[in-house]
Amino acid sequence: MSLFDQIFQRYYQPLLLYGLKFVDDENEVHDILQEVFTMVWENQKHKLNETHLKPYLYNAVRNGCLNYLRHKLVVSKHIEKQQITLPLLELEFYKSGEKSLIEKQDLEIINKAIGSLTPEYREVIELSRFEGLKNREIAEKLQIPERTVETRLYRALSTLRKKLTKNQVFVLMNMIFQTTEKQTVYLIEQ
Amino acid sequence: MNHKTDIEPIISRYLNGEYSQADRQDLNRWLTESEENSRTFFEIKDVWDASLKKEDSTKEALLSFYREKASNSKPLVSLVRQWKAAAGIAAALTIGLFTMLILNMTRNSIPDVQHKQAMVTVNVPLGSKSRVTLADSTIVFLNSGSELQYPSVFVEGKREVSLIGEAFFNVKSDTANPFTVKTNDYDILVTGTQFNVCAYGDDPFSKVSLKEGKVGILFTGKSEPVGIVPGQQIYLNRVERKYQVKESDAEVESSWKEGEFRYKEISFPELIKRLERWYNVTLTYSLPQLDEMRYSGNFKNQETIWQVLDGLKLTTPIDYKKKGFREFEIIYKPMK
Repeated sequence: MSLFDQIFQRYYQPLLLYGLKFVDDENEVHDILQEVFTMVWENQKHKLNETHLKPYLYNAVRNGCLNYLRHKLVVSKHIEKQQITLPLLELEFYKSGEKSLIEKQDLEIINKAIGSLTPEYREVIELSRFEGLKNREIAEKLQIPERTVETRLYRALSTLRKKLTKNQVFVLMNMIFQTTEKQTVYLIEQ
Repeated sequence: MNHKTDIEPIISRYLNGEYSQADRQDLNRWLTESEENSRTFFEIKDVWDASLKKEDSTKEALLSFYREKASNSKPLVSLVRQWKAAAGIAAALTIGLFTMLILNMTRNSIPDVQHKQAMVTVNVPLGSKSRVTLADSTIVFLNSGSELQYPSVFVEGKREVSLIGEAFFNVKSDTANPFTVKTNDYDILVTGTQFNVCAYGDDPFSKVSLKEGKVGILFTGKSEPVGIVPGQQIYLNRVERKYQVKESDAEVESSWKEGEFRYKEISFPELIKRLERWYNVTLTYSLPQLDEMRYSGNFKNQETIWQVLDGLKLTTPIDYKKKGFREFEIIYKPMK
């Protein structure tokens, strides 16, 4: 497999999830990603090392989404314009250097965190995120009030947020540790 | 607003439900109250976004990328989009589409002057549909999971194609060159006409419904064809090797080509089989008591398989369980 293919395979799915954060239309996000990878191809960006490539890709997807939302802002009606305000704010948030879990974490780690939730919480996450059910449908399925679903969903997400941020600190420490170790090796060789 | 208790359901609704104008205004107001609030919201939403489990579309995307690069023309993505809208399903679609297009391209590059009868095979994956125009400008619509084989150029005196699965033919009229559709159990002899053939290898039946013109059905091993007229259908019971001529509406039979799914008095097993092909899912069941039930109805194929199964639950004593990837088990459940 060529280097480009490897890069494509490694990043496509997480970038798709990332784009979906801001643009609520999967086909549009596919289009945006096709453009991003065309740029990668044309400018041989896939030869960058990971430290540079990763931020480049996420930034490119953000810009693609921004262009799309701006365009939509021009062509759409008042009510739709209101729906774009929040995604635009969110884009600003990430533009200022905040990193999404999608960018920071392995999706495996997120799955593991979901698996470690209490059954009640895990259930609402699985039904909504894996099977695509809306709150109302979950309420019907579980025979509980919709309000309860709403609360559980929020609490489940909040628990995940805590778990995953804690995890993040751990990963970060691990990295620092590795860096120092490498430096030590380097010194001995000298 | 009491922050903790009131905003939580609003955020839940915003993320996964129907939220009202008022909800959005409340959320916007709450977000602008403090930086901490907006951070909380974006981080919660980030967890929500990151936990989405999606079918991996990387392979199709990579194929699409190379195809677009090779053709250097208008992005194929928009074509894919129309297809998705038509078939209402993303899975397994693009691969089939691309292999088909690539195949067609290579065929077209063979110069016609050779007059060699190169055979072309079009396979339509489950969950999608296709349309083929033959060398004589006959148009063939192909339904999910069908295979059509035809020569890239017809030789003088006969036009012959083979079909496994379901197709609607609009045959270009040409009495000098009769048109034949070969299936597992019979040949359909036509000159110029429109008809629907449903002849899947794994169905216990096979049928031809005529919309216009005239067709003759020549069963394998027989010498005289059976003729039907518009509004009629040949229905073959493949197990008992018996056929009957029935009244049938070819419009209903071929509604699938317009992206609609209309069905009239079909059996439970046939309905299940159709849903499997249409949605590219596996539905397992063991419900002999339902074999006798007949279903009529229609849907536009914008529904998800969940919605269809939920709809089925309303009229049939069943329930369903998700068993695995694109796999459901249908179980008996007495109605309340």
